[in-house]
Amino acid sequence: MVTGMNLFSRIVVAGVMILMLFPPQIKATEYDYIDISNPFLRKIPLAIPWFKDMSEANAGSILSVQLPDTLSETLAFTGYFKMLDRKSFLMDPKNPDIIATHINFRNWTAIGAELLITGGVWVTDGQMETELRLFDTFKEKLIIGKRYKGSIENTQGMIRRFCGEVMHHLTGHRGFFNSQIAFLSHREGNKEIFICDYDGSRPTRFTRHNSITLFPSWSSDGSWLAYTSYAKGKPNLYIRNIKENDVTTLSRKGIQITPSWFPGKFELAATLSFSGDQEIYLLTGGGKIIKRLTTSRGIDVEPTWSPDGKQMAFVSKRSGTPQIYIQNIASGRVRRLTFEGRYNTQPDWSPKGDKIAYSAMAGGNINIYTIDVDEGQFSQLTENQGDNEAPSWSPDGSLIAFTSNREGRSRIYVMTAFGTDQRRLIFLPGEQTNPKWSPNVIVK
Amino acid sequence: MIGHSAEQKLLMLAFTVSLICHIALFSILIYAQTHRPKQRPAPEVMNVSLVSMPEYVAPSQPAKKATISSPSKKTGKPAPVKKKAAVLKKTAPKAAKKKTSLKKKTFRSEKVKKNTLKKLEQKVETSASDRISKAIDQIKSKVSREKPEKPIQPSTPKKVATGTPRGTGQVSGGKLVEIIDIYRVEIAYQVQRNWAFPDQLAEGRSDLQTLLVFKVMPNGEIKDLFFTDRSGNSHFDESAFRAVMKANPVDPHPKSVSEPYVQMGLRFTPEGIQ
Repeated sequence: MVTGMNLFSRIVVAGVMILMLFPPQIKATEYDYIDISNPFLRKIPLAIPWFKDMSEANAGSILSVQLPDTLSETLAFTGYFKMLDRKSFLMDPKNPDIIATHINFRNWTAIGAELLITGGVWVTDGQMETELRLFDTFKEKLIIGKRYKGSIENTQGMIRRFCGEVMHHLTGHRGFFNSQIAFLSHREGNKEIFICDYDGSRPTRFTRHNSITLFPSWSSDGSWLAYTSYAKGKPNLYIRNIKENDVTTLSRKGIQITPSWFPGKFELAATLSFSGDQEIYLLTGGGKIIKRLTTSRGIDVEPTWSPDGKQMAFVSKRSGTPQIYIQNIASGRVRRLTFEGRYNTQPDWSPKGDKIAYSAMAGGNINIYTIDVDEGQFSQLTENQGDNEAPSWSPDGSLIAFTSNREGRSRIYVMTAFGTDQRRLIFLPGEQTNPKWSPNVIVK
Repeated sequence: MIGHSAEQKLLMLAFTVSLICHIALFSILIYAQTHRPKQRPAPEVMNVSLVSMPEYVAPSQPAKKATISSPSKKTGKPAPVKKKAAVLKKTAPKAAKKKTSLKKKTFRSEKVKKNTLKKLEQKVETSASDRISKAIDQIKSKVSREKPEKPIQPSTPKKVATGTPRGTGQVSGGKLVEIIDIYRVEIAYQVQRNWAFPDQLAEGRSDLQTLLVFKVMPNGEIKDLFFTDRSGNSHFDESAFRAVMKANPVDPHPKSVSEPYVQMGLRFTPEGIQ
């Protein structure tokens, strides 16, 4: 009996073990996927309704219209957003709901808005306070909520700060809303350096040499500009403070051109020819030579630093034609980066470090390209629109400013890092060239 | 002692049974592996898009030669083929690959348009009609693999259901499967039209992939939406998720479909970017 039970239990166990060999047929969830590889809209649909005037006696009624417009323009400049037409909004424009509990998010998702920015404004005695909120309309969630207080004159500063927050949420960078652009303005045979805001507004003259001035370069704290001027007959290097009247000039013979500040230090690289050959040297901000960087015969110019300062790209004619090379500063090893074409110049290393923008001539026209530093894969960003040259990255690496003669005269344009959204940036009489984007800092 | 030998016998029996079962199991597994239908054959989807794009169907009928020579159609059709060729060229291993950027805003758009038109016209003129049909075949195979890049006129399900699919003829799955597939492509298109994603947020990566699965109820309502794979880029994933949410509700099921729901899978990739 005991054996029988044993036998039975053993058979059961064996049976179970055999059954376990056949796992229950888990239906592999295989779905038929249809590919979607082309976003219909390459921007994020964003809605910014009029702000709510919370002040007494409608003191903020003008600002409640002005602020959202400024905000709209500032964010649209980034190329990331599609601003939705206020006429399509399903809400009372006079009485906007600005906090999450009151907002009917379905009214926003219905018109396609993925992000929503609401604002409230208080005005009292020349002082202004504003509350700005960024919402994800699908998650019905507040992403950023900020309150700014200040004088009415500084509304733009507040809006730019909030835009910096929005960009930080999206990209991890604070954008470029505090940056400036130095450029050359050609007038009456002279070229002088001008400085304007990132969006081309408020251009002011920076140099008054009444001569040819070239190659502006920003220090990484944004407080110094180095440039070359022919004011004393030959191309001399000037290192000048933005705010104070503090100028250093180099007193060596030969040409002194194409300065480029070392990241994070009061040092810069520049091409000097006192030895008889154009070589790149590392200098102190005071103009003293630290060391010679290039040692090849022939022209070595236009240095640009990788963001970590470990590598330097530059243009050299050592192989016969102007090409871009990269030098490792510690080892001194040099490798050629560009192989396509016979003319590749004006390199500018991206703030992210992965790409270099440059100008290349092909088919009689100069155009802007970006090249992958490691893989050497390049993309053409401009074409069929005259000559495009002198690219300069925005401090967050999302935009590129450049010179183009697509409308006849040389002027300054801006585009995204992928070549989209090309538009004119600076509206001044005469010709403007060679933009240089500053770091994203407010210089005090 | 007797009990012991019986026990041994039983053990042997169990061993034999187990061995047979193992062999059976592995042969089943191997058989299943080699004979598992991988995916629904492509031609089903292929027909779908051709139906919703009548202008692509026309040249496959030799009687309509006249339409091929009309300049407006000339420029329209070979374009995707050219693009395809460019894509192929791009993937060729090279020390340095050339890419052309996307431009939304062209300043001398007129000039560019004229140049492109001229080029295309030359191309079309030199190409014989067999080349065109070859091109159409290429489009077909492309369409079968991915959604058409150019927005097509969205056809209503009713129209799709009544329209007789032309081209390679009937497919094995029968008409219902075909209608459901047409419907699924239509839904995918409706989602694509709602997909907004800025180039810059891909940070130059073209290997992002997000897989979303959901059910479409008979009234067009989208239910049980979830990720089966994420790209690792939260902006990309969210943009895909939002695209489906924004498309909800999609068109209701075609009349001839009486399924409780239609299962959908969408693969989002930023290939179109660059």
